[in-house]
Amino acid sequence: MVDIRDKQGRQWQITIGSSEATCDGQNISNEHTFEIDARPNRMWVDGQLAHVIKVGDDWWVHLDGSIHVVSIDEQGAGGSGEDDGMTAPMPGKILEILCNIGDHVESGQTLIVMEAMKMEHRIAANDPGVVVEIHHQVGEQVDAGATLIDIEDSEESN
Amino acid sequence: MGGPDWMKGAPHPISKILVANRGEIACRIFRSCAELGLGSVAIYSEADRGSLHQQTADESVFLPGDNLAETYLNIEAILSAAEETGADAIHPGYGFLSERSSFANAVKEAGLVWIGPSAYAIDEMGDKISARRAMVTAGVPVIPGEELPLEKPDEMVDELVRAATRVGYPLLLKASAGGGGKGMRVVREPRNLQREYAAASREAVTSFGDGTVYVERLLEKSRHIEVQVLSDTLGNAVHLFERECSIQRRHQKVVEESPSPVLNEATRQRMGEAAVNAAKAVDYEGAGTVEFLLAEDGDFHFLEMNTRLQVEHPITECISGVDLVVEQIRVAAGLPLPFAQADLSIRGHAIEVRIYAEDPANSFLPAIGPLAMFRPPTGPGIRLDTGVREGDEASIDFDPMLAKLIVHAPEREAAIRRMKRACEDFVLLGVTTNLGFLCDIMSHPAYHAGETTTDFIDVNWPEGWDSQSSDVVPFVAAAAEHYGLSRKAMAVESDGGRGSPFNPFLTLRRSFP
Repeated sequence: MVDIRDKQGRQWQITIGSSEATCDGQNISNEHTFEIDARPNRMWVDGQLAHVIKVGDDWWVHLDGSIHVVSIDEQGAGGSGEDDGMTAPMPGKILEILCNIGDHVESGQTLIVMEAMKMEHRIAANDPGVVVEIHHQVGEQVDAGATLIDIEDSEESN
Repeated sequence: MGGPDWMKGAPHPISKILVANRGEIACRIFRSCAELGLGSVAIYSEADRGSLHQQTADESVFLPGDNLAETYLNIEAILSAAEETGADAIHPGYGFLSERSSFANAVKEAGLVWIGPSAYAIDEMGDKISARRAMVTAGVPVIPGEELPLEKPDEMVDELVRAATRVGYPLLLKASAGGGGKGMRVVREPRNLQREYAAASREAVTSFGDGTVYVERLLEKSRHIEVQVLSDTLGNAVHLFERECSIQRRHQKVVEESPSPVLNEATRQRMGEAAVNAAKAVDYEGAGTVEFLLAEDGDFHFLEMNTRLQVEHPITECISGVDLVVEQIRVAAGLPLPFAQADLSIRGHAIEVRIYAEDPANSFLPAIGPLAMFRPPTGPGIRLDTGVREGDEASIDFDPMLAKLIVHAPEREAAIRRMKRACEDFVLLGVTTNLGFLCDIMSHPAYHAGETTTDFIDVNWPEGWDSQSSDVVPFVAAAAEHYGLSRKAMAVESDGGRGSPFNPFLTLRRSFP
């Protein structure tokens, strides 16, 4: 069985050779036919040519004129719920940090200014809360997905 | 020495060109060099070792250093590379040093041929404020704005606020030395003015070494139309019609086409003449571009003149049949233009899209990753200008533009259909790109209707763009995973991508390599 997560966050469990699969726990039918030829990175899906390649845990697929990427979920890995950290959307350099630990921030408030590809990007808070940790300093280079700031839910406001 | 036969008798003969640039534009110039019988020299930094541009040139010179100032912006190192290799001319491409008059002068002082306009023309047009003044003198209409050299934000805050109030909101803050969307900020409300000014000024300092910014009224629903001009050193100047470059994101162009779907013949004529006059006003030499904003009412305003070859020059080449790089080289050698305005006409319709490594579903933020598969479309009327190939990486070191895809067809609808097909056929896997978004632009009724205003993306995708989800792809991936359908190099990086050792597919590959 292969566990797959797509861009929309849906979890798929698919067993090739079986006629059933699940999407987000719902049973769905698997009526697709696959043909493999002698070339790497391509296959026929329901009679259509697909190009496929795996990079890391991601399968990139070109099918019917569009490009998709889905991830293989390794058993046991992932599945952790949404954390409240703010992550870097792309690799780049921290230009400015506009908040301090203990600050109460509003959703949409700019907390960090990053530079990537010679452009400035503003990173804003997704949700209101209190800044509990700042993981990087001005001038540091960060990778995409690096946690920048931890925000804790403020006491339930009414 | 002295160059190929066709160069005989030229006042400044050229035999070998060093391209002070990288990526697709360097490759594009090297190809023309090869066709013209000229030698070519690449320069490259550590990040570009083994890159396509390094390998396309006849010779290449390594520039040590880990930042642009030490490599692609290092005038001294570039001139010694030319000396070392015996290059007798330098082509700057676009970006980098292409619009630095100090570089143009240094090249000439070193006794080399500079393939570009004079330092005077670069300075006059390169500074947006002096360019504006020159156009006012030449009688070309300009956008309402304030020519305030706002050098020191702390002292200039009051001045800035007053200027902004006079110009009116929404307004645009522009780096005087800027271009390519850098150092440019839209301000819709007064409360954002100072913050955006600080950002624009800082970007301007980082990118251009000059933090001067000016305030201009933002003309919405306008079109960005530019006219290609070409002048020789003997006083002849022509225009090669317009390019419509309205579809932009973050003030960077995404789709360009020629001719414009809205320009009528009379306006085309007037714009072309205005562009030629602008070029003549600064004794322009070589290829240049005069940008205009075309308002809804049909009035056009001078925006700026780009004193270099433009990224989107191929569409002009398609519809005019003129190879702009070849003409640049001929003009630099002192040869006359081989045609007059009356010899030029528009043939068919051309569209260019810029393929960026970026995520259009996530505010067009740059993306990085390997070009694990890179299979461009082919067929009649399709051209791809790129500096990458399969196996290269999209990295954060440079601009995220991976390639320019250009199509040419007899008329606009056919060109749009061709571009849509070409975007769909492009197999580009391993890094997120805007290809899906480009396909959607080509399918959009507003694009077909020619409603290509500068706010096209905001108007048609107000909530942002998202890719179509697929209920088949997870099965494809599962099957690919199950059969271990990945290629050697990539599979090595990934755990469990090889499939079982008994996989018949792998065995098959081993038997029939």
